[in-house]
Order: sequence, then C-alpha cells, then structure tokens
Amino acid sequence: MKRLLAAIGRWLAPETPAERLAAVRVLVGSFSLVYLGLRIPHIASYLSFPARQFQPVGLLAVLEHPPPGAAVLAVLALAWLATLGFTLGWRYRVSGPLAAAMLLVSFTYANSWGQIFHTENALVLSVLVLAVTRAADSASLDARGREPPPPHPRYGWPLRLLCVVVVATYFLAGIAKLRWGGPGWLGGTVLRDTIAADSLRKILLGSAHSPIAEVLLGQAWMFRALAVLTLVVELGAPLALLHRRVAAVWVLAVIAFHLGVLALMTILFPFPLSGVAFAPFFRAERVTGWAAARARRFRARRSPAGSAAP
Amino acid sequence: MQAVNRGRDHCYNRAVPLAERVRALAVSALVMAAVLWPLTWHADRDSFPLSSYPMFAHNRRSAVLTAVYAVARDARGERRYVPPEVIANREVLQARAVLDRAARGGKKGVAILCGEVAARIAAGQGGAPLSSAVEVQILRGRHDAGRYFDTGELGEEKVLGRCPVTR
Repeated sequence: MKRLLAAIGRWLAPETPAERLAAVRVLVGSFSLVYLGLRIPHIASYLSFPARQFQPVGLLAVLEHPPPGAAVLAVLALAWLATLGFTLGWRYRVSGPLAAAMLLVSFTYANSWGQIFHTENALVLSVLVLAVTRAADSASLDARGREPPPPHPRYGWPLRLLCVVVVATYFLAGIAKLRWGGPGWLGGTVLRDTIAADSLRKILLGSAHSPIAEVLLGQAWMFRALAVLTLVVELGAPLALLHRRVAAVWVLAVIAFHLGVLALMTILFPFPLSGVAFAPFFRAERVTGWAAARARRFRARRSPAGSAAP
Repeated sequence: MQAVNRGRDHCYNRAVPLAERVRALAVSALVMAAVLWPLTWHADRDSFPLSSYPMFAHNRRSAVLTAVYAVARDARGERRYVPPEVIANREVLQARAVLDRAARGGKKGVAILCGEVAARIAAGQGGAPLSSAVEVQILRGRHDAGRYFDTGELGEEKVLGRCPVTR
C-alpha cells in the first residue's frame, strides 16, 4: 500500500526541472499576450451591445447589469499588462494571480452575451493553474542573477495538473457526445447533418462557410470515419497521461482533429492549434531554450563587438 | 547513493514542507473537481471557463435547420443576408444568439432588433453590398441543409418583422 501511494505520489508530482515549468509559463503567457491583444477589439465590441442582451455566466453571474464600459476597458488593459508580467516572471506572486484573474474576467465577459464559445476555456484554466505555482523560479525577471534551482517535484505537479486539465476538456466533450448524441453520433449521420446545418446557418447569417464541407457532404462513409475518430480522440484523451510518446501521438491526432474542424466548419481553436496547450506534456524548456539561443546569436551578430570579432 | 537520494527527492511527501504539500494537494483536488463538475450538469447547462462542452453533441435527427436570420431587400426586391457584424459582432454564433433572443422576445423583441439593424445599415455598416437596401426583414426559416446543398433550394420562411432603412 505504501509503495502504491509512493508510486501515485511520484506520478502526480514527478521530479521536474524548474526550467520546464517556467518554459510552459513563458509559452502560455506569450500566447495569452498575443491572443488577448488580438481579441481586445472583439471583447470591446460588446460595449456597444444593448444591456438587455447581457446574460452573465460563471464569475459574472452575480451581475444583473453589464459592467460600465470604462471598467471593462480598465480590466482589459490590466489583463494585458499583468499577462506581460506573468510571461516575463516579474513580481510573479502578484502578476501571476492578477493575470489569471483579469483574463478570467475578460473572457467571462466576452462569453456573457448569450453565446459561450469554448475556445478560451483551456487557456484560462491553464493560466489559473500556472498562476498559483512556482513557475517563475527560472527563466524570469524574478530569478535574475540566481542559480537555477535543482529539479524538484514542486515543478512537476503543476505540469501534471495542466495535462489533466487539457485531457479533461476533450474527455468531457466525448462524454457529452455519448450522453446527448447517443449511438447516432457514432454512425456519422449526426456529424454530417450537424456540419450541413452549420454551413447553411453560416450562409443565412451572411458569413463564410466551408466550401470543403459542401463538397464532402455527399460522402457518408467519410463522416462515419470522422465521427469514430473524433470519439476515439476525445474519449482516448486520458491515455495521453500514461507516457510522453502516447501523448505525442494523441497531440498530433488532436491537432489533426482541430484542422478538420477548421476545414469543415471554419471554427478556429487557436490555443490547441498553436500547440501551446500541449506544452505541459513535453520538454517545453527545449523550445524556450532554442528560442533563447537564437535570440542570443541574433544579438551577438548585431552587436559591434560581435561584428568586429575575427 | 545517488539512486537512494533520488528516490527520496522523488517522493513529494518527504522533500517538501507541509504547507507546500497541502497547497499542491488542495490546488490539484480543487482544479480536478472543478473541471469534472460539469459531468453532473444537464444538457442545457453551460458556463465559462467550466463547461461540459455540449457543442455539436446533441442528437440531431436530420439536416433540417430552423434558424432566425435577417435579410436586407433593395428597391427591386432582391435580398442579401445581413452579416453578423451588422447584427452583433463578427462572430456568427453571437449573431445567432442575438437573433434567437430577439425572436424569443416576440414582436417587440424582433421590432427592436430590426430597427437597430436598419439603423446600422443606414449608417453604412455592411458596406457596399447593403448600400441599396431599403428594408430589413427578420425571418424564421426551416430548411433542409442536405437539400439546399444538393439543389440550392430553401424551405419555408416566415417574416417575423420588417422595418425600413431610412437614410
């Protein structure tokens, strides 16, 4: 029993280099900075919505009326600045939780107008988890001039938890299809009819629809295969927690799945498609290390001392 | 010796102060419980950032689509679908939510939205394609998507409300 508990403990909190958790912070933070920057016009577009359309969800469900426009803009500005601090690891004990809270409020606001988009759930949950961990013990402004700490389980459990969060989003989507879609979902007809109806809805709403879907709608066998593959990817998500190689296969399958969704339904899920959502599964420090080495080489080439060297 | 130490360090229970262990356990338990909580929700419940991800999960029995949408007609009676940014913002699903909500509000709800859309078109939103529009109609249509993509034919439409575009 003791051995089993120790094994579970090792699995939940494996000894991990601080650089790995820090690299995930940098990747998720950088993505959040760019994404929030691009989404600010969209989020701010709700300021012109009539108050009657406000249907708050989550954290904002306590509100009866939409918050004042100035407050929304202030939260967006603070969210971006705090996310910058989060990414750079500057005063992380404050900037981390502040970034998580402000991103949560910003995206909850954008989902509080009668339509929940599901594109930002994993991103917000990832930032929330990272914000309460020691993700700035390395590769951060806070850690400048300090020796990198040795590998430790305290850098392992947050990554494991992030993997569980990402896996859960897909697993729950698979469960929902079985619960509410039933066996019809496996037959492919539900998927084909859903895509057909979605394409027509986009036409009726004066928007772009997928020409690929239009061409493929007649191929019933293909939707049967796609439906089965979708459920395999979603319900098989927990397998990605078993081993890094299994995770690599699963992540490739998920990215292919999202590319399929983009091609057939013109719905973009930027966080998983960027690959950043899956960074906790891998040795993310290699990516940031590679980027840092490139930046150093670039600086060395540009510096006068570098160019004067024989 | 190194292997022994490694084994000890590996064990979170021995290597970390109690307060940090409790924090790690509490955060992990809370987050796992939170993300799995939507499994207990009903099909029509959703939230953010926690969700049961019900999109596209429902058992659609056919490709028949019932949808509320807006069209702009010009003086010759030709119609164009009003794009999402004129109804709500650039998100198609947001425009759908706004139209559905207006339809649920009955004649009054439709009239308010119709007036707003017509005012935006009059102000130049929607650009050249809608510049000659003289009337906005909010419609509820019931269409077979499979048939539409085979033949280009739409099904039945009902006008829920109409209003002039006054420039």
